[in-house]
Amino acid sequence: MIPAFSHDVNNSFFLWFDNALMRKGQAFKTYTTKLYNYTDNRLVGKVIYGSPYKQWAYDKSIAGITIPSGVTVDNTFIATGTSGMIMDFDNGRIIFNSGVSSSLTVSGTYSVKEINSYITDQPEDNLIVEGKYIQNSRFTVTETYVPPYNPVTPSAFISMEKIDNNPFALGGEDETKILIKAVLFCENLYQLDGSLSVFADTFNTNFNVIPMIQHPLAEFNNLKTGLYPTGYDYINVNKNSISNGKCYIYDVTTSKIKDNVIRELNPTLHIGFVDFEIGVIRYPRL
Amino acid sequence: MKIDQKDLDAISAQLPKENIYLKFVYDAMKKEVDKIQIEMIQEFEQHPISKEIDGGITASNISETLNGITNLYSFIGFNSGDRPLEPIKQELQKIKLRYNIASRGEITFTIDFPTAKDIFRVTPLPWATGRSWAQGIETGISGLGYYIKQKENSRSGLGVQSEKQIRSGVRFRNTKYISDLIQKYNKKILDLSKNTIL
Repeated sequence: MIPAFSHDVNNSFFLWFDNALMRKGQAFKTYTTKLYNYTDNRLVGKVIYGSPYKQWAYDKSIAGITIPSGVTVDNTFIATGTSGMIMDFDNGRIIFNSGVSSSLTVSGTYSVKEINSYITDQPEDNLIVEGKYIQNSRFTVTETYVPPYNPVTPSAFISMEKIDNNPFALGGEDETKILIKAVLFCENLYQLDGSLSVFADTFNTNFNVIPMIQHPLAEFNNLKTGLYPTGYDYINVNKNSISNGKCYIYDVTTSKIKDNVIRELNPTLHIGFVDFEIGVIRYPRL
Repeated sequence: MKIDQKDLDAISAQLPKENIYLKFVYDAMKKEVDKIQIEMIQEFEQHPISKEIDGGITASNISETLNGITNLYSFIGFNSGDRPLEPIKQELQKIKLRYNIASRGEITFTIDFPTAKDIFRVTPLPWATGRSWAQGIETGISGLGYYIKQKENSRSGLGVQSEKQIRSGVRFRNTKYISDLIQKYNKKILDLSKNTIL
């Protein structure tokens, strides 16, 4: 199946959300850490070195961010591509081809999102009540790699709740209304309030539709260097996507779970919600 | 005595300055607005969602939004004694009729009518006060309030109304509520400008 409009909007929103949080809220941190070898059953024949942090940042439009172009192996800088090395930005790790030693001393400098973001179809109560999350290893006593694939906190779970078309103008032009909800799991109240504030201020702003095929990450969560040979820059990509349509943020509601309730749910995390009402003017039947 | 158009225009310009005339027009308009307001409040009270919430913790799921597993009062997570419909009724009663007389004698009526957003502002979810339960009825409510109530009540020894075994997977089915009601009666108010009421 080819990507449909809802895929494109989901992708656009996700990229916009990430950029807004990191650019306006400067919600990222830069670390230099060791990378630890581990095996991944999904990647048989590959040699993996994982960092203690997930979701390395890859958007070069964020000022002050460090996007790694390689890692240091036994005191020598090795660039991406050497021995087939690719960077899995989402899982915060590097992947080598088979044949590479699993006992190398690897370290790297990279920026990580302070709040990781995920697209989900899970209902809020499942995310909050049943979700068992690993914390991005910020307070661990012994530093090691963070296991891949499963979400870590602090995080934001984005879900498209509703999409419908309403007549807008003669000639088949409709207004597509989209309801997107985000659940934020933060490690402290300062982080939660800051994130909610960043998004509350996005009321009456807009972003362009970026087709799903232009998502910056490829199969192994590495950067699509063919599509973005000089690196991924959200501001630029958004600007160049103007002809694909504009998503207007008509309404934003932020809210957080009351303090006494949090104690019943998850006393280690602070949970908030951002509800976005977005509209796109388009010709859905063309 | 012959009255021509010029005389009629002069009388028309003078009429709004006469208190008796003004009162007559205002009362006629008010009667129409009151009629719409009463009808709207009645429709709101008779809505299955309102009736179910008004029934409190022991109500059955007449709105059929929860597959009969529990009722809306418990699902949303209201506390015993909460009267969640009251703020909505108060908003719906806030309809105001004002008038303005232009120099050429034209009377313009302005009707302050609540918007759906006004209602959403006064209907906070008990566990996340920035969100509106009334809006949630239309766009979806998670079962979090229900879960919290279950936990609280299991500790305090109180029960949560449930005809079937309690499970966390109770799903809410969105339904039309406040936005539709407001839209419908807003149209009726706007239609008053098309009617001849005198």
